[in-house]
Amino acid sequence: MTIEARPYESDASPSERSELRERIWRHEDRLFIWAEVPVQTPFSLDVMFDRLEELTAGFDQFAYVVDLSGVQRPNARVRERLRERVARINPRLAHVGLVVGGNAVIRAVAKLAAFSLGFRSFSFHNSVDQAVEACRRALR
Amino acid sequence: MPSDEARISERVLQHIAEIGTGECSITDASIAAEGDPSAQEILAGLLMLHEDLQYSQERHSALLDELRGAIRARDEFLSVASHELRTPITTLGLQIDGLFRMLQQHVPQGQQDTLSRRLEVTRRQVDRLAALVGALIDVSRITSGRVQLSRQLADLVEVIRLVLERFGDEALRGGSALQFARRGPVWGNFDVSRVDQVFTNLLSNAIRYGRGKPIVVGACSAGEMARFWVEDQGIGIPPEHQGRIFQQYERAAPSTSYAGLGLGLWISRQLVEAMGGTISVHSEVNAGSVFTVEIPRNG
Repeated sequence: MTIEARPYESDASPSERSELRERIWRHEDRLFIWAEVPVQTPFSLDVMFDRLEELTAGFDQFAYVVDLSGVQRPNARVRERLRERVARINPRLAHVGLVVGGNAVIRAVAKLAAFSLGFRSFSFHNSVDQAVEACRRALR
Repeated sequence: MPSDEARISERVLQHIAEIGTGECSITDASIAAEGDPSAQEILAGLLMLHEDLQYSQERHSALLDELRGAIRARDEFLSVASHELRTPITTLGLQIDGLFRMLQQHVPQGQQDTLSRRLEVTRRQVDRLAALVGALIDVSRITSGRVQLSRQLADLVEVIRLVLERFGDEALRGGSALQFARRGPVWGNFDVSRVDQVFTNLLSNAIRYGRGKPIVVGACSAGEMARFWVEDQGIGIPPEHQGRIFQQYERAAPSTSYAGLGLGLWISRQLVEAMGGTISVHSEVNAGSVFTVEIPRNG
């Protein structure tokens, strides 16, 4: 089963929740990858941020790559929850590498969102590899 | 042909004007169609700003509905609770009257004093309870717009005289001498019970906060209006509190030193305004307060 391009809410099945959690994994040392779902919801953000917080527990500093390619523009409700959840991890966040692909709208929205979320260090990339490299540099 | 910069600037201004009216015609497609990445970012930013504003308004609106619902529930509770409380209190009052009668008829004269004093204290507490419940019933009537006036031809001076008679003992207990500066009769079409209620509230406040000093009350005609006032030489009200004492649940005096719900002056103001009149206060700390009410004589 793969995550579909639809909103996932609190009525998501255990396997869907599990799949949401699995979209975040440890790439190496203090570097994590977040493969964003096509349609973000406050629920999906909570599940995925909970997972990120679990994985990064005990790290003073970490970085992560967010793959936003194929993602739809988040609505105001989602952006609000994003601000709340990012605020919790921001003090430990060394860098965020945002993969925006070729979607001009997502690129513009991601840039604006990065400013409003208060990321202290972030960069935009066309591929995950480039974003990983930027995170590695920030963690050195 | 305008330059690209001028075109973008004009478009941005148009969208800002649009957002000011709660609309936004920017779409994902129109952002994508814009060739310049900087212009795309500006348009996306405006769209997000519009969405955030809409979302914020929706949330405020939902919160407002929630608050209104909570106020409605509170008012309904007050209404039901106060009406339910009134019945046993009335019964209690009647029982006390019956006990008084039994005391006078069946207990020898020499043994009546202690029992009589205790019954009198009980009656005063029941009266106080009845007044508090009455205030809650008034709050419920006022907030639901159910205040009905019943006017009749009456002399304001006489209405006040009767209240003063009723308050004679209480003023004596508080140590305040009551003086009535009348210039009347002051005839008019008044809701006698509501005028009585407002004057009673002002007078009981004057006794409560008057530090046992003389209280002067007065009544006169003022053209089309009838005026009455209550003047004490008590603790007074600081200027910063004078504006809020007529609001619901507000009190200038500390609740630890003076009992009450903070509803009396609010109810008085609502009743006076329902009668087409005004209520005002002039006060100085430690010098006293004058509350003045003006109501139409032919309201």
